[in-house]
Amino acid sequence: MSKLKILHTADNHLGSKCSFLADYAATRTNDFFKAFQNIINTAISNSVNLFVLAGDLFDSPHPPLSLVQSVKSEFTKLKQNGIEIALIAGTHDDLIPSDSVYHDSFWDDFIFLKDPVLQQPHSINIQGIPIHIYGISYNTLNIQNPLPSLKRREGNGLHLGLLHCSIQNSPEWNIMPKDLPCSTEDLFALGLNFIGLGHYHNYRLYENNNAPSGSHPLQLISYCGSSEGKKFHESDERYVNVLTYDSEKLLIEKHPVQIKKMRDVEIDLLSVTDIQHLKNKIQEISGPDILAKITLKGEIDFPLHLEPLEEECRKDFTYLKLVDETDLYQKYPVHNIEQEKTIRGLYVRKIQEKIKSNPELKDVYERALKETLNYFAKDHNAY
Amino acid sequence: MHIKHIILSNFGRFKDKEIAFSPHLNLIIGPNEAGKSTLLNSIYGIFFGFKNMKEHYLPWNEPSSFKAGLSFVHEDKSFSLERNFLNDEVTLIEDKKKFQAKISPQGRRSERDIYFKKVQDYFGLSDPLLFRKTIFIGQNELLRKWTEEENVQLKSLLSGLSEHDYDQILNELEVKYFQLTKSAPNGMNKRNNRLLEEIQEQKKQLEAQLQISKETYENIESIKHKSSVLQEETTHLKKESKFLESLLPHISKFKNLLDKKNLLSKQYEEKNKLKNKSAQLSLQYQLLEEQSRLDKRIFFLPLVSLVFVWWWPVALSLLVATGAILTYVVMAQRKILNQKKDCSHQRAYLPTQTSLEKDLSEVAGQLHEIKSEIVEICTRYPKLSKIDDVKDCDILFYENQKIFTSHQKKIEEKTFAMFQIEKNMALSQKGITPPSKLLDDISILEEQEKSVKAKTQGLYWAHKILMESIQEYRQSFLETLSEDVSHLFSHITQKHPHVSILKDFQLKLKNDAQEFSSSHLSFGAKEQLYFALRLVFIQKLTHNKSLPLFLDDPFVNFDEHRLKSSCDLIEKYAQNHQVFFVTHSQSMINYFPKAHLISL
Repeated sequence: MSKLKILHTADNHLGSKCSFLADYAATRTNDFFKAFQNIINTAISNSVNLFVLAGDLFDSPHPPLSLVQSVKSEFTKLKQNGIEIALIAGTHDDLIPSDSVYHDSFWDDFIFLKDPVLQQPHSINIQGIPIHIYGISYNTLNIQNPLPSLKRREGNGLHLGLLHCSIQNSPEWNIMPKDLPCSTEDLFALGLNFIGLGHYHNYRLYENNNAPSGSHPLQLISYCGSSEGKKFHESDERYVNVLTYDSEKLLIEKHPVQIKKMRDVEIDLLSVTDIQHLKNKIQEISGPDILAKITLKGEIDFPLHLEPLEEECRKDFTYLKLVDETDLYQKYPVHNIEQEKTIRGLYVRKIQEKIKSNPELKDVYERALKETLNYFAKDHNAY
Repeated sequence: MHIKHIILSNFGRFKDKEIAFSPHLNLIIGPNEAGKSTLLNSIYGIFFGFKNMKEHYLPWNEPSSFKAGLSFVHEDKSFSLERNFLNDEVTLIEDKKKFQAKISPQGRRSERDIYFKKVQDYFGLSDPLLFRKTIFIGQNELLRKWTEEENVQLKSLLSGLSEHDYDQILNELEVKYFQLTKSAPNGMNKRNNRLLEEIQEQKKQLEAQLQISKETYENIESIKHKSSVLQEETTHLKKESKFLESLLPHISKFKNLLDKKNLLSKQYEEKNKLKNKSAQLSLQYQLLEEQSRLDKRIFFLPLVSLVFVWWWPVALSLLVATGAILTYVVMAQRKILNQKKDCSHQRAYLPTQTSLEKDLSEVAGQLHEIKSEIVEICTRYPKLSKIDDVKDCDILFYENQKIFTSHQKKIEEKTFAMFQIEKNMALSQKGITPPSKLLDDISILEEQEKSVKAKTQGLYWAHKILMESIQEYRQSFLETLSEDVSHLFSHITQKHPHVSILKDFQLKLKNDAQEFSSSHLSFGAKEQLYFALRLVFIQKLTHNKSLPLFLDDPFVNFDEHRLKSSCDLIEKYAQNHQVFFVTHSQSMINYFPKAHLISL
């Protein structure tokens, strides 16, 4: 019996602006599209038969026209290679707006599961294998729980689901919007062979160890994650899933697709001896494809002038943001300055008085001290 | 900084004189008029030029050439500086970079500003007057009184440059603050939006968008609900209308059937009556026939009297009786005959029984058909089953027709309302961004805002508190200086009066609760007091700079003990700074055993 190959992607967020990356923001938008092109090429080079997308292809329902044209040509490439396409809308590019990008007739050529509640799965036959595609385009207006509509129907072949949802108790559960909340148990209970998920941006694979053997092959649920990191904490590798299916088994493997890597790193300065040592530590994280936020923490016994350090290290990164969260009162040379009968000595004492009288503003005053300590230390060290 | 060597090409009594210096203590010894002060003043002159003393150092033998130069090290970089005193042309070379310009003390050229900015960098000051009042102590200059303007300059210099250039720090904090926000820490506003305002503006716009988006989404929900209610109502009305549309003709039909049924029932009844009458007449005729048949036999009855002829009374009685009976019979027969005639006559006017039966059967058949149709209609429209009067049919028809017309009107209204709702919904949904997307974007901006706000607040308070500290310190710095002078003066004299520096840098002393002016001190003690003051100035100026100190025989009036203490202080200073000490006294070698000796 012939094998079937399916590529699962989601959360491509094409057109994402990433304004927090300042000067790199515009190029970052292009990185997202390049990653999407990588996905298309992965589908073609792996000769997949079916390309499924679990929502948030675009970052908004109104992407720029030029981007839409480029995306259409990428989809056309898939069509030209005989690859079937099935997709759902996400929470960023939902179908509610009357001028949503998806109201274009271009999408009618594909299996687009637009309803918020599934009436009937879309059944197709590829290479003699029946495939039943279940899915809904989540709609915040829909008060009816759509999950029961995705329950497995009768029929041989592969039963495949697409869902843009929030799995309870995932690591992202507390930091991402909880649109269409559900549990893995809820999803496994649907009885589908595979559910390709979207919404949460880090890769996750859940296997149903209690899946009945026999007619139903192993049940799998997977977030393939976003194709590029949108925020610094989305620092894991970015993937698409490629599934191989025959009547007996369903295999899943992940393929990296990202263009640039996000890194959210903390360096504890307790173990750092001097500025050169710190530079070396930052250097270890660096790379021409790295966008990093490095938070400096802990006690420090040498003066730290953040901006020139950031400026110097930035050349080794695509983008670098240094954040100073060092423990100030251990920081050189506060104790020494505090004793001085000088302006800066008076300044440090005044800051301490303010912290004592307004402990709720401690962070603000400490920040003020940090801003000036760099100047006070300027003459002792390059940083 | 320290001066490495000097070349006096043509300066005063010197010609092509080259002297190398130590970076620490340089003791320049020579008899009177050996050129000791000239050498010291040449260093001053090379840097700043001479305003009034140029003639004093004009070369005696070759006045057409008046040049001197020196080389020095500043922050590990080597410099060479040469001045042509005739035209005040200065040549400054720093790592092969050459700066050449005419820098006269009175000039106002832009090159002069550039040059003095460099001098400021080397010495921390660029005012020649302040130079002479701080690190350059000429002969008999310790007790020289200063003008008010000089005092103000010195105060500003000392309070502003103690450790750092605090004004510069304040300025940089302000610049950084401006990069983030259009509001200045001092309350002034800049015209252009800065990062924080940009973020806050973007966030504000997104929040407004989110509000609209949420409202629109909620509206869509309520509109969809309204639309579905309207849809349901319209569907219901359409269903009812359809029923009424089909009911109305059936009511008419029902009415006709009811009419026909009534008519046929009547006909049937009449025919049946005729049939019954005919049957009755036939029966009556038969009876009459039977009655008339019996009478004929009775005619023979009188003959019975013949049997009793022999007994005539009986025979007569019998004859009479039979005669009476016969008469009665004849009479009865005649009546029957008449009745038979009558009966026949009536029968002649009636249809035949067969014909009547046929008619009845036809009417019954028609009636059955109508009844079946009625049952059929009543099954379909049960409410008709209760109606048996055609008048009720008319009422029912009228009522239902009225409802039908009203339904049609309602359907039209509701369809229009639905069209309007859908149109408005389509319009309101245009261009709307999903709340999830907006919330995501807002959360990114909030993170940015938090970080920029923290930095802005930090900068604001840094600027504010530093400004307060500078002001407070500058107001009280004379007290700090006074304490330092007291300490040094005590070190030199081994006496412990408390010295107070007044605003005009006059000094007052306090000893055992008694306050007295410095003029009450001896000449030597006064010089020692002002030397202590100079040293404090120099300490302030050299806090973060390695500055040379120029001393032109300042201790001539010091006794041995105090000379020793003062020299100790100089030697200590020379550990980290360059010192030029000029004297005519060979004995000074004993006080500075480690000094680099330069004999003139």
